[in-house]
Amino acid sequence: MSAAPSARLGTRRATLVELLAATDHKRIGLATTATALGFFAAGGILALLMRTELARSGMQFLDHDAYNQLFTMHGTTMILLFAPPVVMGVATYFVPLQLGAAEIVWPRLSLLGYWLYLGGALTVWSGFLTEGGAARWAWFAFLPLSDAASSPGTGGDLWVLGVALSQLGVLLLGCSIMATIVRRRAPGMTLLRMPLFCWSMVATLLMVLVAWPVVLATMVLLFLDRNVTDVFTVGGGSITYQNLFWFFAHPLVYVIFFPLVGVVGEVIATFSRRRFFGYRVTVLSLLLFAALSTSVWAHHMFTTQGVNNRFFSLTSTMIAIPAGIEYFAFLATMWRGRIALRTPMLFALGFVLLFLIGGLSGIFVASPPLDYHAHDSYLVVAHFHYTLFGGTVFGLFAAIFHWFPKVTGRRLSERLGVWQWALMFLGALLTFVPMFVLGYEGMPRQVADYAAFRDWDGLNLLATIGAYLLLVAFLLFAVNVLRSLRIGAPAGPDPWGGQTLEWATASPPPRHNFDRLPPVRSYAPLLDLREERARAERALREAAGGSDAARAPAVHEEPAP
Amino acid sequence: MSDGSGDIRREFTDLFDVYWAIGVAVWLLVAAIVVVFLIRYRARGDEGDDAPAPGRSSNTPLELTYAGLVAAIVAALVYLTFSTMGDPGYRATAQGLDGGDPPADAELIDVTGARWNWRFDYPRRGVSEIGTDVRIPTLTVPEDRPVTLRMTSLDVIHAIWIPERRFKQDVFPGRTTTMTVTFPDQGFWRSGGQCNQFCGLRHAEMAFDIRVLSQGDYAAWTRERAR
Repeated sequence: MSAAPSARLGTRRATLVELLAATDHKRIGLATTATALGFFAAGGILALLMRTELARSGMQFLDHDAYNQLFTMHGTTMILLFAPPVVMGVATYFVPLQLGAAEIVWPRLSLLGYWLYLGGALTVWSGFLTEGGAARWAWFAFLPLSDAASSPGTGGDLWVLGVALSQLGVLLLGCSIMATIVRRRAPGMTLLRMPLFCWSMVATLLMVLVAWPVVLATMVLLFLDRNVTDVFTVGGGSITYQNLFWFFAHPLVYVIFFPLVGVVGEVIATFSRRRFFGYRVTVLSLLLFAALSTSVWAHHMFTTQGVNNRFFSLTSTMIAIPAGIEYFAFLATMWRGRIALRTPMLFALGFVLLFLIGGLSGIFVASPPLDYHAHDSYLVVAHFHYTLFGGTVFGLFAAIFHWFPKVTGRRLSERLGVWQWALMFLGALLTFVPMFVLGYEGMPRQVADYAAFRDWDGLNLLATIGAYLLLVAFLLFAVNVLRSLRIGAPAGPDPWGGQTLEWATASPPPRHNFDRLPPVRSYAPLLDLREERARAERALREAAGGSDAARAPAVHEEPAP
Repeated sequence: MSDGSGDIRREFTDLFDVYWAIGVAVWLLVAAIVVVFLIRYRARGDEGDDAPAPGRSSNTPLELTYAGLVAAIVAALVYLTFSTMGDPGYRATAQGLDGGDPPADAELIDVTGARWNWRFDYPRRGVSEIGTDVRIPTLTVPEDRPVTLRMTSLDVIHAIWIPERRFKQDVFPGRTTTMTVTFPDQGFWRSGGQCNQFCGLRHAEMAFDIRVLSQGDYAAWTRERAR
């Protein structure tokens, strides 16, 4: 293996044609991830504008119409244009590596997926450039608010088209990953020897395959309704739309944290120097979770008098069972480990603690008598931000800090990373805990203003301060990345003591990924090698007379290539 | 109304306490375990040392026992929720597929939502109330008596949330939904009801005041307004 690739990616700029047409899964995955992070920044700026407006009662610098566009586009961006693409991007990069594959299956389909996603996302955002402004109907676009009579304007049509295109892109990216999992596993890698992240992607992609066609159909119907003829604006059409939308959108919210469950599990195992505990039961629980995900959607509709609340309350509460199994596995993996508290581990533990707040409050809102109060209030805003920010974003940063050295060949600064983590953790508490209280006290979501007599100014100000802490944290991350790309220490193939195959090749990996593969005998093939070596060393020492009973420091030697 | 019929608040509070307590306890337990493990099992010395730590990597009977425990907690919570949903007070409040019908003796008020205003009609009293450009409308109701809101919308989906009663209900165009609330005490709640389904430009300001009168005052008020 040559050292050339590691120098190249960081320094030489690819030509435009290479960028536009690269079918290397690493290039596609990186482009998707970077694009999604760009939209994360854009959606974050919208959130900061909203938090600034809400810091005090009364309208300060936005008007109602601008605010309504902002929260619509914030929600749309974060949950449709950032989160699903970013997990697909990370998976497109790392699933083939973890499987020991040389390439992804259907790379051109994957590339098409990326371009559809980028084009669709820009289409949604181009609404800001139109005369009437962007869509302003909340990210779920309920009818009849989103029909042509109530929300005329090009911005709305661009939203519908852009959502359809970008989610078609996500679906195609997903198809390619799924096909790779089915067809490109390394010799010896049976299904039950796949890394946990790959299994979390299997569960994720099963949900994508079920739910994403529904959103495509729904957006086509919405487009027809707006531009051609009544589709939903008759009879119970508005309820039908909600059923269709949530049938997509609830699996969606699992799609955007499942892959991070896999990442967090692997990070915890790696930095506890343990094999992930309860692999088989966790895999089963992920599949059970995915199966349940298609039967919980109408817990978003408890207050419509149009669904059977008991049924959806039951299925939604049952989600706690697979989720509980995954938490048990996380903690049991740390038990009796030798925990190295490096940045990926910190973000993984941030996920464990903050996502738990989202999960537990999710059980709360799954109970209709409680949801009749909580629904569409700031209580719900707090709840889902702990799942999406505490879960997806913390999990994503665990993935980024874990895998950045693999992708770039350089390390990130641990120091800046720890500061970023601390600010993010504090910011996540400061921003979203006050929202629980505000919601309980009666503050509805999606409002540009609240009355001064409510006495909600203090809590809102706290939330706004928290949001600015998050801004500082993300700026630190940007500094960290730029710094690392210039002067970051070389990472080597395996900076963390990784357990899965991506650590058995150079950083960044060459075009064909692997020169040589280690044998795959379990879901942690590199850990197998290390254990073998430790056993061999022990045997040698005993043969030599056992003079030194203490464990010799492990020889840090790369197993392969 | 000694049985508290129509008073969601008691059922809400009882259930809230249980869910809240379990949630906080589980979070504290997990956080404590994380902290203890971090202290107890933190790598001594070189953190870059990647030699494997000993220990088994699965214990299926233990995991299944644990899953059973979680399932038992889930079953208990579902049981609590379902039995609350069978409670007469809850069934009087939450209607539609959740079960109950409005109590026969309830005061009936027809509510019409339209962007961005509310209109309240008291069909048995000949009274009407609607907001103006400068004043949000006031929902006037009798104390300690179930009030059924029969709601519809003229344009898009709205919702009525009365945080004081811990209850809300969506309001649809072309459909009628109902909710029944009882206010046990007299009083005035400024913006005590608000639209809770985003409905466009001035959604944030689509609220109404709530005034609860004694039954005598209420009767006098309706007679006065009907003239």
